[in-house]
Amino acid sequence: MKHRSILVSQLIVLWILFEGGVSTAADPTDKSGFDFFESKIRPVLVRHCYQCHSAKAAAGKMLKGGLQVDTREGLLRGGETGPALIPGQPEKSLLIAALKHDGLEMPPKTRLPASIVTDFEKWIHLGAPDPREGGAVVTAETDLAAGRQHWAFQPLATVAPPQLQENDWVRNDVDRFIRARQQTEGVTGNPRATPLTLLRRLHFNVVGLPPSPEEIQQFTRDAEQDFEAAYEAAVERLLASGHYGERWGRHWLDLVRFAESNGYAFDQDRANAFHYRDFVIRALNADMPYDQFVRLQLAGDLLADNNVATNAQARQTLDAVAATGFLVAGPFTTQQTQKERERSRYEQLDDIVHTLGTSLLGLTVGCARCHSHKYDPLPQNDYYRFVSCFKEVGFGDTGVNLQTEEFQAAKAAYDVAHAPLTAAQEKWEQDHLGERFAAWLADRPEQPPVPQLGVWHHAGPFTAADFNQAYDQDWGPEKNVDLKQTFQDEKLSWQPQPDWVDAKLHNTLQGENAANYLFRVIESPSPLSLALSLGADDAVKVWVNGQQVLAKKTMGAAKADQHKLNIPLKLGRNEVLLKIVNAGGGSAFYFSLAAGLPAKEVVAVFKLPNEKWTEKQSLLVRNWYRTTDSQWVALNTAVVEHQKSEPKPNLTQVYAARKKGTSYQFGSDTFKVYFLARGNADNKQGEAPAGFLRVLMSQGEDARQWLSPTETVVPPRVAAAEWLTDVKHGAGHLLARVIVNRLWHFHFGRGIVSTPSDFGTRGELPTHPQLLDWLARELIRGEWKLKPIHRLILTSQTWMQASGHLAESEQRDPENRLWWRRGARRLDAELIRDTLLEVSGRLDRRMFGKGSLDQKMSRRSVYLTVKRGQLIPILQLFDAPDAMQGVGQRNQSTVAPQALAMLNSPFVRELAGHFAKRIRPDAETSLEAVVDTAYRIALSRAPAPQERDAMRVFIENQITTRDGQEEATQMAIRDFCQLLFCCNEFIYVD
Amino acid sequence: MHHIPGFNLASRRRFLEQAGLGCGSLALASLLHSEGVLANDSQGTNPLASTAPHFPAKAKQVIWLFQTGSPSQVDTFDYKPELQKRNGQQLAGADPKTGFFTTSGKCLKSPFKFKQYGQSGAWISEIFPHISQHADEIAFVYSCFSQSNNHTPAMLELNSGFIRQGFPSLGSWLTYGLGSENTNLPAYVVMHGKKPRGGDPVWSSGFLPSVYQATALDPRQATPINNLARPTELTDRQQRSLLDALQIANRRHARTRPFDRDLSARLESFELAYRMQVAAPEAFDVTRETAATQRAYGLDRNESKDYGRQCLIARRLIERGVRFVQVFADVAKTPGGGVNDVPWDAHSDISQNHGTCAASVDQPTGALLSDLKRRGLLQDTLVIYGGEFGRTSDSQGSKGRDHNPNAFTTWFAGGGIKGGVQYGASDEFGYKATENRVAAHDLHATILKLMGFDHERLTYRFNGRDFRLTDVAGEVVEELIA
Repeated sequence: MKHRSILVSQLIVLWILFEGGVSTAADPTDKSGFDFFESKIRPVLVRHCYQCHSAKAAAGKMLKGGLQVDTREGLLRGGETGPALIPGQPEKSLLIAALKHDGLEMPPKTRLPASIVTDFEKWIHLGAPDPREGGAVVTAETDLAAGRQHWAFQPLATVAPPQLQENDWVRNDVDRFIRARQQTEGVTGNPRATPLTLLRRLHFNVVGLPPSPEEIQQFTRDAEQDFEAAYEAAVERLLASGHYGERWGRHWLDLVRFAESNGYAFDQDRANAFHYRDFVIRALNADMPYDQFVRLQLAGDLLADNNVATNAQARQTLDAVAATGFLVAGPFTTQQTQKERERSRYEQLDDIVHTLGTSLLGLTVGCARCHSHKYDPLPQNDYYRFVSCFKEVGFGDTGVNLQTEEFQAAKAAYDVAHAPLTAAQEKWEQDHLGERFAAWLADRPEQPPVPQLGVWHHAGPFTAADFNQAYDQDWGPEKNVDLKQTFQDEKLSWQPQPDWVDAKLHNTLQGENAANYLFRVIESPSPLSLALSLGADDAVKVWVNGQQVLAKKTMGAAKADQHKLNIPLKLGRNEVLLKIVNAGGGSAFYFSLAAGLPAKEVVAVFKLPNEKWTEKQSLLVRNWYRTTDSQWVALNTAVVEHQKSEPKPNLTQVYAARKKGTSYQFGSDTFKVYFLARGNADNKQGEAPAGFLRVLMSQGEDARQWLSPTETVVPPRVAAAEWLTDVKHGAGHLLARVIVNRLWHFHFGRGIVSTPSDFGTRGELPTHPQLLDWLARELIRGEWKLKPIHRLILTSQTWMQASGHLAESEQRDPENRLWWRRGARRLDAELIRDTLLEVSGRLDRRMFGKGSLDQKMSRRSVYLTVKRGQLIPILQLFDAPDAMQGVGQRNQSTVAPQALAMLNSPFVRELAGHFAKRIRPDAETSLEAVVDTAYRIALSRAPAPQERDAMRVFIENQITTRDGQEEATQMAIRDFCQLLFCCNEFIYVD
Repeated sequence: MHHIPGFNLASRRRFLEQAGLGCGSLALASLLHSEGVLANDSQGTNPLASTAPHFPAKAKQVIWLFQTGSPSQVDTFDYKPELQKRNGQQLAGADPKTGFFTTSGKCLKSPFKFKQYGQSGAWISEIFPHISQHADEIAFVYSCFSQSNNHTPAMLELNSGFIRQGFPSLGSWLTYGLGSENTNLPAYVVMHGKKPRGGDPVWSSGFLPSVYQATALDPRQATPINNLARPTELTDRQQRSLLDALQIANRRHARTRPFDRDLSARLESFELAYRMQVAAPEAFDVTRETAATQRAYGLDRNESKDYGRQCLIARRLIERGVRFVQVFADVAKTPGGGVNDVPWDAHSDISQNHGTCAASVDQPTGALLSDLKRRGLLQDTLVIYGGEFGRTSDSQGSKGRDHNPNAFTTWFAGGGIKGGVQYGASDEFGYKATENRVAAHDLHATILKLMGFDHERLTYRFNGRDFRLTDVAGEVVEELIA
């Protein structure tokens, strides 16, 4: 059946082609044409197309592809891919291609029967007669002016903290905003929490670790005397702690999908990606201004100073380069078929601007990829212009020398020592070369003399017990070669091998764990440095005239250029001995002259008489001649030998963005960005110039303000960073709003805007817009430093209040949108693990450097390697993100597998054992004391008397169940320690 | 703002949006409700509570038998006499770069014989003597296609709708939409031998809360679920008294914080964990089945024992209320081009590879269908069978076939499926799907429909966008639905 219908349609097309030729006079307004339209075309359009391509669809925001087929004009005007039809030319009409599912596929799922396609072909051929009237709805250009009215795109308001009648509850300006709303709504806030509750809260919030018993003691003592002073001192101490950067850096790493591997099937490691994590921690600890923090992440590689003099500057350069890890932290798949690459490249670029949009601006920029943003004023063109700022971004490792001072000192010393050697050589050339060359020239040979390589002689194999013995042992020839000598009870002797030609791989050697010796004589016409290329399977040693000049092991098959070396030849006879050592499998070697023979240009000049030489030819021969002059060779050898001691910079490799670095390669378009209709790389509509999101430029501004006419002066990426941080005319106001809201979010568990990564029209409105703008202005006023904002929040009554339930407030504001109470908050995954380690006395506080994949390692969790294909189980259990997309707000789950891990995982059990030892250092310690210490360490408080009793009884019971067992008490205390780990109070902080 | 009228996902999502406030872990609150622990707590706040979908469901549970590496359509279920006739001849319109390598452009006939089965007369390859007995219960879709010619992205597409990593899988979406029927077992279980190509992201919960993530396990292992076994140095009695003391401490702590409900949820999660220690090993213990059942699933044969175990456990899990079970076919030997993580990948020898793979999967698959039916489970359980793409009709080398994203067959049986249906078609060589083409989004839309969901309304807000399993596409293949 199917075959026949295809055949029929072909016949009809033929019929149209032939018949059509005579009926081109078709009048589109012809009545019979209209009849054809009404009977064959309109019903199909209505049934299959109107749903997505009509005025009604446009009204319902359902219009697809900007195409409307419910009017004649709509069809002629077409959509994003151009006119739907060209009257009279069905073969050029997209509509027909689409119906045939040729390139486009319409209707998307079902291909309409061939007979219908034929009807359409005929109809278009007739000139597409169409009685329908009405214009096509112009798909509204995103209205930017209207778009700018959205609160988040408005400039920051200048607001003063409200003045209040009664200020009881107010500790600082933050509270004025909060209290004012509370008063209006008749809500009362909680009193300040107790000092110990606050200390624990403060520790977890700022550094992510519990206070130590000593810190608790100190604080309690100080607070009794002067709470305010003690509290402020604690805030300052913690903000100054290096652990602050570890705690808050982890939040940032969530936002930027930080990972240390490519993801996908092969999940290749990015061994040097950890520098980005270290950059973040360092920058936060140093309170780097946030605008600078952002600029470096977008363009640190371009902004970094590459001519550094001091180690401190080198560190800055490394951090600036590492900062661009932000751009290239996304997943990358190494296994790609050719067909996938271009699409993948646009995916990669989308990952960059999507992450940038959500993390920095709270905007879903990526949604404008296939169509103008449905809800926010982000036209599709803005998307591609913005993407174009990042068009040259690839990734790779960049080397930075962190010991630049040491290097420069060593280099200076080297230069001083090196100068006399080159000077001596130059002086000799000035004083003697001309004269000696002239003398030689007067009686020069007809051919340039070349070293004569003798026939190879071979002895072996010398089989040993193992590879190392074969390699290390001198089997006879290494001190002196005598071709008459025999070895191994005369079983082995030197054999000439006239067939062993050079520059060819010889697989002829025998023996496993065996050595073979190769010997040849080279007659040299002059002292000479001869360059060799060697290959050996699996190791090689070389002696020249009895001097060992090489010893190398290379596991793997022999090939050319495995080893390159220069050997010094003296005038006359030279002896070259090779030792090839094989471990297993076949053994082979390769030998070739790489250089040292006169170049063919020299040979050519030799053929001419001296007097015909041009100056250039003469110079050519002279330069060759000097390599045969023993005086020059001696001087040159001194230079070359010394060069070997030239200090090399000790480069630290950093995974970062790199201009035209690794990417998906698909030819000349690889580092270009085009406007893509519907986001489809097969549908390019011209190259996209760099530009920014116009809704975040003040009215009348032009992207050229930040960009320079040529990309070399201000690279677009740098311009993008400037635009982003430009408060006056660019996106800086939104940038500031988003970050202060994030700080609030992490301090309170909910932001002033409760959708911290969506400030668009679909996000939630701020509960306290004035407070948000005031904080943003405070941030900018304080030169974008984050710590002052932390300080404001941490010393506010709003943050310091207790969690009590006040009936009236509860009734009026059950969701606590007015911040009248504080609730218990669960620790993040990393903090649960860190606290387990800390409490058990096992935490290793060393900062920075390579991470580990071992969840039992004892450093903080921020140093656990984020390998996409091998996420850390205990972190995953407690909702750590998967590093595929940025996350501004972690999910929080309570599931049985978490409880299983706390109860049964060897890691937790082991730590409970350590904790038990810590709280009961000796058998003399009473159980009451054990319980007291444990509570203070794990829960930052003393147990109530009933608690102490209950726990003592529990321990005693557990001892009883192990009646007679050695260590019964210690094991029971370990159970008790694990019980504390499992307590809600352990992971929920008030 | 945006909400879904009359659908309780809205309240679930609302509550999830507030996760940052700490309510997120009401996870078990209504689980406790169902067990009478928190008798007065409101329904609809527990993300894993069993909930009703948009409209009455045709199926309540799913078993997806994923044939990793991609079986060839023309050697299994999509019989092409024309291809048999034209062996060795040029395949018209062949694109040698269709797959991962380069193909010959020459037709390669199937080395297997085909026969028609059942009332419906479906053509099935001789390598499936057991599956073919169920021909009339099966609905075949011959016109599937995928976007990528590469395993990992195609695996991602079939499972999450996107060729990129980071999006929730079908199983996670369903768990999000429907919750769990069994509080002692995970709602979404993935079984694999060696992890299939693409690894964990294939069954990721993406941006959905991790409550909806799969529990992935290798059933050949002694303890397939992490941390399930009590430490050897702790007796049950000792652990029980630890838990009792913990409950006292937690209740005391919760007394002064009556409104922080996630505290009580966590309290109960420890009890659930304690019960899981018993329930889960029981569910995975196939030795509790009769010898006859074990034999029926091929557990006595080397070639089928691993996949047979997967299938038998799948049935045990379905019996116990697990919502979504996905099996990534564990095949004992993979000659002819396949490797452990993509067993059906017959690049070099179709006959050898597919013959061996089918010997592993045919009998257990057939046994599973029979067993589900006998136990009355098939009517509520949707069984899905297929790979991530198809294979070329022209040869790679002399006897192999390369990847072909343009056509493959997926079949359905069980809950809500009209048996005997043959939907869509590929061209006469089986090279490209031509009639009623079905994309992964369409498969997903159809599965969601069977499970009671309008795929356009099952959404989750992430980074400012309402995401769907079907992105902005998807059409239900109504013809499959009974």
